[in-house]
Amino acid sequence: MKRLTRRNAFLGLVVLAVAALLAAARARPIGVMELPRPCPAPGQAEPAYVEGQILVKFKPQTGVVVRAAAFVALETRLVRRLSRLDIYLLTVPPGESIDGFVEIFGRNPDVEYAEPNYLLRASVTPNDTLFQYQYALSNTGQQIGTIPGSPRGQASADIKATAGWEETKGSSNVVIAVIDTGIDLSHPDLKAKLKSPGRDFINDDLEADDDNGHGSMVAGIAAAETNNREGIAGVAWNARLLPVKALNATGVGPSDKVAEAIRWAADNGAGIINLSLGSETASNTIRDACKYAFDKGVFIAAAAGNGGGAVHYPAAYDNTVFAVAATDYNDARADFSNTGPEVDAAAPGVRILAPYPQALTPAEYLPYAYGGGTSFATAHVSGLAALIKGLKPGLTPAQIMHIIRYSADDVNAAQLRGTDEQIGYGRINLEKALVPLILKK
Amino acid sequence: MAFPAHRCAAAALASALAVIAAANPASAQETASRPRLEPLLDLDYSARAIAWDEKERFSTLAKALLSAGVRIEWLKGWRISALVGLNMSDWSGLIFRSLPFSVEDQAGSRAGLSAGAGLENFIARLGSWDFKVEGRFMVSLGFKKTLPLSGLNEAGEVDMQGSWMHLRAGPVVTYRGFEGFSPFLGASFDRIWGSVTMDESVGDLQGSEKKPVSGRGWAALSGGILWEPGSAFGLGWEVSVYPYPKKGGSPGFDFGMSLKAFFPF
Repeated sequence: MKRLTRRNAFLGLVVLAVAALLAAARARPIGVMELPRPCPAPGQAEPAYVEGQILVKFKPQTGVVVRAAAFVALETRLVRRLSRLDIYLLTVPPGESIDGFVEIFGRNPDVEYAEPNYLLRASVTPNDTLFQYQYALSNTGQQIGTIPGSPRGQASADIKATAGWEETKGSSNVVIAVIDTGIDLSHPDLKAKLKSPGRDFINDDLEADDDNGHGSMVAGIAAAETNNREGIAGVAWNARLLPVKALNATGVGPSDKVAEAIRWAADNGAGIINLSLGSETASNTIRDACKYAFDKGVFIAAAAGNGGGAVHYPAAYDNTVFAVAATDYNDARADFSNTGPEVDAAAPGVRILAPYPQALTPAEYLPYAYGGGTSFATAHVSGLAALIKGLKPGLTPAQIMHIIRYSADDVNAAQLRGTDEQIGYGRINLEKALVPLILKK
Repeated sequence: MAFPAHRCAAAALASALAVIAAANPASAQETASRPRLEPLLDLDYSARAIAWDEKERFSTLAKALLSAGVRIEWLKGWRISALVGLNMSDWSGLIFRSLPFSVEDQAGSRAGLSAGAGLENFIARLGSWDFKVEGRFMVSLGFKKTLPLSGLNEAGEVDMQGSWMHLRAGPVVTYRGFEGFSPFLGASFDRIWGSVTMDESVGDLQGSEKKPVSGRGWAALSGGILWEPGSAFGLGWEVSVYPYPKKGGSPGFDFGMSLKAFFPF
């Protein structure tokens, strides 16, 4: 009885600590809506075709005179002929509608087809409409947000995602379990990425829906549907998500539920487990669950915590869990990011744009929000781990940890050269972790 | 089921030898009254398209060999040769993606030892035309080379070692109607294959990857000139074209060149 009481007291403490951590995180700008409708619609952010130009292909038997007559009649001007394809590039008179000319040419019985001179873009720059605000993935020094006064970051203070994606965009065989408040199962940027509706250990059912927002944001950062002309890009384009709800609507969960969730995720196909949660107090239950998953070959990333103090648990379980600190859009350590020798590396965790549950989003906003905290830094690391695992399925979690550590950029080398307690080995770098190193003479 | 390259090569060599054996040695007009010994010097260069990673990826193996050896006229119409030498092999373009940190080899040429043997059989002379079949097999064992990996937070290095084998066999026709020099043409079954092993060590990370490679082509067309100003010295110059199918089916061509000096006595 005495032991039971002590256990309950311990669980209570853990619950309080987790609650405190998440409350601290929520006090930061998590859930702040800054993107009023209308947001750039698909295709509107950048032009879809070359202004004033159309491409026309005539039927093969059409004579040169007939072709020339068509150009003259419509006052178009020949720019060049793609000789091998027998296609003409024409300019239309200034101010005229491209669509109108396409239609007129299309009605000509001698014309096989006519179309605008569409613009194509390198596939490694995703066409997600909000990608331009994701400085963490590609920082050009752009303004981070749509409202006046939004900050600008320092160019290249990012995780080199676009370069990393040239090597791999991940594998659908890799599953990232997000053990959190659940995931918005019908979110347009998340629903196609779900392995299953997951497991809800709070309500004890098989639908890990999100009634808080934190889990959806974390999931989206790691692996939102990418290159779908909508929303944001995830770090791991092709990885799948497994929602596991172990925190309730206020963002709090007891150790037993979290531990159970870790074991369940490890037993249900997770290759990566994201733990954007923590407590100041160690829990043997969670430590054992982490070891169980690690021994099954699962890479676990956990948030260092946001109080500015010591690294929280489970991130502090050094052998089995990868502890993630946060940096900002200038590659500086976020002042809230916890410190300690357990910190392995850092990732952007300030002003991070992520999907937000539709049910919790006011009608005038898109279901996305800016947030901050080591939770979101952790999601970037989980995404990178998923990319590595997809590329090299045979690697162990320990090897993946080393790859992420050794390839990080020591962005605070000017103050603290080498590994330090603030950002560990440094801010993660997808390019160095994924793209082949060039062996020179 | 894929038929292993070395078995294909062995089968082709056996076929070539069968053709040689079927030829009537009695028809040979050049016979050896006594065994002739010819020291040889051979300088050979070629750049060959190779495939790796389940033949999904491609690069080029450039190799230069300097070999010395002897050629012996052994039986009537038969000549056998043995060569040893040094070579430089450049595997640039190979990418090792199974290592913890993927590595692309752009480190240039690496030295190695090479050895090989050749076999020739004179078949017939028709007018000024000589017909023979010849085969040659060379092996190269590269020296291990260690290079540092830079740009990471922990010191790292890789050890690389490559080896290749080259088999060539086919008929050659030589025109003997000119004084002092003889142009020749040949068509051969030609196969190159091998492997490169890379061992990586970065901090606490270790990994090793052995990458089998094989040439993209199976044939060679060659032509050249033999210049024999006297009975004590000869020089041969040969250019080879190695056709291979590119991805998508269009033809690609590799080239090679060799210079050979021989000193019969």
